[in-house]
Amino acid sequence: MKEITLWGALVLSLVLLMVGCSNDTGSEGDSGEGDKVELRMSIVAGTDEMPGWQGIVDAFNESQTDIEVKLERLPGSWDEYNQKMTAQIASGDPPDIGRIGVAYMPMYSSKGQLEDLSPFIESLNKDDYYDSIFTEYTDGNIYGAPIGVYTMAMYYNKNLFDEAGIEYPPADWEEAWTWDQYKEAAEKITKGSGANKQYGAYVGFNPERSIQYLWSNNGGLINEEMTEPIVNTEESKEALTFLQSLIQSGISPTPAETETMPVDQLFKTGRLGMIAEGQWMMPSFAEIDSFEWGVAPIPRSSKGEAVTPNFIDKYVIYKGSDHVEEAWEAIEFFMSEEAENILVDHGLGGIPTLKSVAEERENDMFNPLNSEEKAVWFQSVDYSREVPFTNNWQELMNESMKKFDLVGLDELEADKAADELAPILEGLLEEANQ
Amino acid sequence: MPSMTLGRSKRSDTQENGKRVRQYFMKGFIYIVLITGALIMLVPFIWMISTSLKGQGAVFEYPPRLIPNPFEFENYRKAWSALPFALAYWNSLKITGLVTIGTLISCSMAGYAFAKINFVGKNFLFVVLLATMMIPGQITLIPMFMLFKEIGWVNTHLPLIIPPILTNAFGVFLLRQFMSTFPTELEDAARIDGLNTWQIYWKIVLPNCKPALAALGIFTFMANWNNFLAPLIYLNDESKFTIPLIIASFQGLYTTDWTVLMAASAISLIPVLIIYLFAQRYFIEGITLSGLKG
Repeated sequence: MKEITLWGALVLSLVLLMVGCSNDTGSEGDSGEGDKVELRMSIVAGTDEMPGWQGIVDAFNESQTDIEVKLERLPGSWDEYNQKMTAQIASGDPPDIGRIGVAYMPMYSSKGQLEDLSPFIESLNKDDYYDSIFTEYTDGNIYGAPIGVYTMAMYYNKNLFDEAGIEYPPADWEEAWTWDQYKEAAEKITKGSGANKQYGAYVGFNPERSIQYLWSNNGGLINEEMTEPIVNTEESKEALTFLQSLIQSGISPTPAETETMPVDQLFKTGRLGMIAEGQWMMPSFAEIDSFEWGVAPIPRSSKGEAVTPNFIDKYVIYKGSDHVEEAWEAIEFFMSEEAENILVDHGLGGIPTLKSVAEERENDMFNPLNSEEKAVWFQSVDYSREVPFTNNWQELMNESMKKFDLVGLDELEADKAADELAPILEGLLEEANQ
Repeated sequence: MPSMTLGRSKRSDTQENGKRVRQYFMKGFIYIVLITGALIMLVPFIWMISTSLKGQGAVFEYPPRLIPNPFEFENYRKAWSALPFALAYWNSLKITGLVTIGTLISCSMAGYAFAKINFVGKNFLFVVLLATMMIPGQITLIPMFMLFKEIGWVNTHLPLIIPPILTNAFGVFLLRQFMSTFPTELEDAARIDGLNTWQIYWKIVLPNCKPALAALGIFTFMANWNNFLAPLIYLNDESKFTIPLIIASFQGLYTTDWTVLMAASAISLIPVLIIYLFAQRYFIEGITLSGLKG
């Protein structure tokens, strides 16, 4: 009998707990006090980014009395974010506002999951913003409002340059190093072998980190209209062959080597001379205290200009939101001077979309760089190009990396890889454009 | 065997010696294999502890250093205070505890019914139950979310507690297999002594099931303690987050602070270790039990 009572108590406590759970959610659900419109904003972010995002949301909530935005943070990466949004959109309960990585925009846009923002963006004074940051989707609508501009440039270890007796690369994008100058410098920096080897430069073949070399040589992965692969053109092949030559001559670590030692750690520990990376690495590299480093334009082909990809993440309003007008009001605030200043305070979002903020806050951004090097970042926007993201970009990347990894490991000639990849890309593009 | 060797000649003595040497070798060999295996299993664990005590710059040091110098206990403080870690700990303990207890009750009842009670359509139902194991979780994710949205369970802990308790086909299968090895005579004897089905289940079957229950308990506890996807999908408020979500929070989109991440992981492992140490007793008991029966 004793056991039965115990058992009964267990079941009872279980039931009670469940009732308890559902009760406190019930009361929370309808806590819409007064006439305030409550909006949900959902973003993926690590905890270190939260003060900035929470900052602009709080500032908006204080700036007016009709709307209350509630910020929901998702841990993890874009994959997890997309998964959760998919579930919420499918169930008809998406958040009102979101932040979406530019690479995933076509995926959402093509499925009609986002509100068309063009009528709202029409009302903005576009002269205040940097040119060409309001990008249209293939159907002519604008589904995302730009948050900030991320570009890439070349970080370099000044101590290693001094040791090898090389002059620092110029800071002007017009006078960017050519590939030959770049390779020559990298060769001089490369030394040692085995686990303590010092590498001159890093080339990764992930198109999101290396497409600029193909562009600079007038090539690319797919054309701008996203209808044809151009990875198999002579220009693209030439660029890929150049990149592979850096691996063959031991200047750059292979994908196998960076698997055990992440390449940003390689740079941070002073064992890498040059690396093309984005502004998003600035906070991490700012922690370096064992050597001096700088930023220079990305090396260009002798046949073309220096160029860098840009990544402009977007604020969006999910289709199915009952408060589109109010959600836009919040986004409009996030694009104002006040909000962009808050993001700069916390080192978030890249280069502000408002020219005025970018100019005024020059001193507060991109520290510890000197003003000449800071100009590399500000100037980079004018030399930047949008990556042609398709609505099946992840598949495109997966297929590309299957070939490019072999190129990086020097198991497949760059020419051949490009020829083999082209028909695969063609098929994927056909699917994307259906 | 011993009586036979007694009557053997000298020649068989040397044979006996050889046998003993061979046995020692065998034993030594087994020990070496086991120790290597244990070391391989332990290395990631030790590495986690080691990394969690390192300074930020020392994580990717070469050659790697097992014992950090200096020790950075600061990481643990950071991990614990950076986020509502304590709250998440409580949430995780609550969810996992309820799921584990609930699973043991529901699976053992269902398992007993499938193993020992005859009813119409039993085999058919059992096949249907097993078939549910073949459906990957990703497929049911969105329909489940829509369902729970309809009944207002989103952003509560309920979808993390109820479905795992009621849909654990593997648990039912495991316990059914274990219970069907019980001799029917045991039950008959109990029935003659006047116990009804309920009492047999409670007083005879369950106590004999401890090893299987311990195993299922550990599986369930670990699976739910480490569950990342379901809490990610169902929970919106940071105050309701579970440990895996908090741990993932230490990972930024571009860079990761490995030392704090490892410290957080180490803290989160404590309950799993305790449960394992506690349930291990029943594992051993299980071995002796089956020995008696065999």
